Amino acid sequence: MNTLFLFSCLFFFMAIGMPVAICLGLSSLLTIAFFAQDSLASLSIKLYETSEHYTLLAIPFFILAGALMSTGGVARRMVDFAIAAVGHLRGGLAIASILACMLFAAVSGSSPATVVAVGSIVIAGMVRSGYPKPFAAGVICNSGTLGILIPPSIVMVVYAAVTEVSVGRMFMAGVIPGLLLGLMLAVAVHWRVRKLNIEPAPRAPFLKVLGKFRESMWGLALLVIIMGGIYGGVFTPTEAAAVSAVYALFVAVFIYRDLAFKDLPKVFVEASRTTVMLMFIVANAMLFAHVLTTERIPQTIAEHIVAFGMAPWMFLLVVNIILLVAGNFMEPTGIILILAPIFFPIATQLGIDPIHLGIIMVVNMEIGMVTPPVGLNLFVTSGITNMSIMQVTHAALPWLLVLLVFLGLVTYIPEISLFLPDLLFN
Amino acid sequence: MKYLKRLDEWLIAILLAAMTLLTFSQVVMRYVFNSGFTWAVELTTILFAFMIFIGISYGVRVGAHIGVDALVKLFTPGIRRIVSSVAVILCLVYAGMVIYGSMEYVLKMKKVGIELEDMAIPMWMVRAILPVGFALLALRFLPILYNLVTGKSDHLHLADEVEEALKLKAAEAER
Repeated sequence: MNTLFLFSCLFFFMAIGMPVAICLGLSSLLTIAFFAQDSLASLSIKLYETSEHYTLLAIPFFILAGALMSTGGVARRMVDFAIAAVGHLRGGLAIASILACMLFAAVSGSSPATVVAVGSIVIAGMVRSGYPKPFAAGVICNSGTLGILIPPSIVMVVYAAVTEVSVGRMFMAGVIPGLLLGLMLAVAVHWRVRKLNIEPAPRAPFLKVLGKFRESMWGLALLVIIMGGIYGGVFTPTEAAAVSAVYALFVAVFIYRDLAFKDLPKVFVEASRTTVMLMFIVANAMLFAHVLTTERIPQTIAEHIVAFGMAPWMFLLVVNIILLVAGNFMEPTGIILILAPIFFPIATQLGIDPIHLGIIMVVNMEIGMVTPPVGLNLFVTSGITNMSIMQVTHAALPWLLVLLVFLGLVTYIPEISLFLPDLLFN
Repeated sequence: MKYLKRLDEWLIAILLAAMTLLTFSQVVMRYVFNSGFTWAVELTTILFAFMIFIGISYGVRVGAHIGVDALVKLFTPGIRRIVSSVAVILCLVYAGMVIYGSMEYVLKMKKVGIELEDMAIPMWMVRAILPVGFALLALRFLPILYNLVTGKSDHLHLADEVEEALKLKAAEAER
């Protein structure tokens, strides 16, 4: 009864267009007010406790670092390097765009930001070199999803915070899947361009490639600092995030000089606006998760599933279907916050590694970003190409198949996600 | 007056900068001077809390909070106005419940008189940001409700992440 009430409230509030954060908070408060004896005082303070969550403190810093690095110059240098490195292959420019997305994903924790940063540079170039516009848009729209799979990733920080797994392990687990997805997309491009008559760029001399690499190196070093710092035990993930924000500021202002001092306040306001929006959702979702736990909802579902004799592979299939459907309607952070507390205990009971579950959830969120009606990457791509949403959706479709095959691989071969973290942390 | 209007914007940006510097300086202190402040983490989380709870009302002002408007868009403007009014009233109910609950908590804390773990500041003073922040949030919803009821607007004025990203890009192109 209370479960039904909780979820009916949530869906009703969302349907009438209330802010997602308030939908989560109000449905939790009402459920507790009607069905449990917890005081409003103890619930309200749960909202405050979000800010005391040390892991979540990494989010504003990663957002700030991303905002400082998204000022155009960084993406530009990464694209130049990618073209010099792989531009001579068949479909080279498109493959270079994928590589640029992978590189940019390593400084940014957001997918739409990756599409905008890389896409607004390369799509015009691809069209000029003879690629059909839908082809270019589709490639960028899909490879932009790497933003949340390749560390740092804000979605992963959120997952780590709600399930209390280590952020470092989660980041490490994203590396191999990120490289694999990039490779799969590149192979698909290589195969699909065989019919298009496009002259690849001449092979760049090695010294030029090296020069371009050195130019983009300052940006890429961000990932080295984060991963090396966490892995080497130099600092916590939260400190790593703060260090990367300061580093990003230093690079953007003093080395690349893309950002003037007078523009800094604007970047800080922008980053804090994004942070507040996200953290308000997180705080209320924490309240929601608290209600789920006190009402023992995940445990009840878990008991049913175990009693039903569901095998792990069947459970993972169900997880994927639920996530793919949910991904069509909501944005990633919200989904992770609502569903991770439900899936997590069940997965643990079935012997599925929480890190593996996390990567599965992240990959599903990537797919949700390129499927209508609420696919952020589709909207952003439509915005930078002036194509309609329908056209972009259609253009993204063939590449979506690659993502789905990839999801299957990640779901049923846990080693893809677990090999690196197990190797480094055990 | 112009500056006062944008006070919230300045505050949250400064809080973000302070949090970043404080956490960064902790790392520097540890490795360079082999020391650190015990209160640094606690202070950072307090700055974080102030940033979030001052920021949420700012978020309403600039339309930064995301909502799902796919269904509401299907209605005729008249019905949309009614549905959106209900939505804002529910938002006010939410704010009211949190204000009531957190006030109760803060008053209880004041009576008990517990101090923070690492700093000699009464806990209720810090946690009072919760009722204050939500009161500001409610204040920001009132003009929206007024505009809906008087028919000046027919929607909640929520964020469009896509528009945001593109606006940023456009601003950059201008530079």
